[in-house]
Amino acid sequence: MLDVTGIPVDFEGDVAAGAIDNAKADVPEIANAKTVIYDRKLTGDYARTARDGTVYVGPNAFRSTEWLDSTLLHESIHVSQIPTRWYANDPLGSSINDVEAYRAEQQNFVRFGLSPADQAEVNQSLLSDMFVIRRLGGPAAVQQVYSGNYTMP
Amino acid sequence: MSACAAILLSLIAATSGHGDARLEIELAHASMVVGEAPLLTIRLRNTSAGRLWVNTRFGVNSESAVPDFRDVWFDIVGPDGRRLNFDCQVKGRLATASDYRIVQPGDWVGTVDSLSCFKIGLPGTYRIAVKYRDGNSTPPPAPLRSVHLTEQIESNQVQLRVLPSTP
Repeated sequence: MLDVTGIPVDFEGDVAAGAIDNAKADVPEIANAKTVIYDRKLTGDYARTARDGTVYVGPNAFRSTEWLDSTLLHESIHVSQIPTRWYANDPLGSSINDVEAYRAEQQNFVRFGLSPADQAEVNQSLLSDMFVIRRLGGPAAVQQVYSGNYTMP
Repeated sequence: MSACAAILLSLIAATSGHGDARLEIELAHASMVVGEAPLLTIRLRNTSAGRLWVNTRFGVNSESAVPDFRDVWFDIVGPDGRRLNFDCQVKGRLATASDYRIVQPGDWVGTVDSLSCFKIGLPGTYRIAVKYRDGNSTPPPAPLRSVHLTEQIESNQVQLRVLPSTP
């Protein structure tokens, strides 16, 4: 079966699964996930983590080995939030959850060797969430998150 | 073309963005067994007579997510009448100029989602609808003779019948 680009679907899936296996070796933190699945339909986002601990990775996360590693680290943070800090249904809380994940990516820029463009994207995404935290939680919430406290204020 | 005609055409184009697209959703299967993944196709169709400039990122996220990371969100009501929560954390992708396309009259762009962020665990009938709005706060300018689709659009509603799993 071919997709619209003429690439066999099974071939693409096999390549993606192999790349995920390699990334898992680079990012042992993702071992906390129930499973990590390639989802070729997930084109609008890089990845998503469901509450059952399943991580879905979309095609755009595969633009480089470094970006895939960083994305898996990001999702491992979300998996770690499930037991006590899963705020997916709260606008302020989900931004706090995201800031924790983006800051983990920032702290590992050197480890994964992210390009300046990749770093800029992480920084911009983090900033978008910080604006939400400031709007919904005020300066105190911003201060709390900057200090590394990622619980609901 | 005279200057007056050009101005008139541009005025028509500038006002034709409202109500000129339709969001169509369709399930791959109208029923499934608990535990299976339903596939929902989402199509954004240009129903106007002019060209639309559309963000085709189709970033799926929670209704309450940062708009820069969300173009599509779901409204799903379960058999018990309760609205289902979007229960995922998303590493969103910022839209870029390459996500934008001109959609000709009658043409459509779309995506598919497996509804993996919703807990569809109870047997019964689920009512599903989708909303779309370009969430990008800094979209590239629309090319000449095309109109940027900025309005929020709601889809038709489909029903998914979920059957209990057999032991």
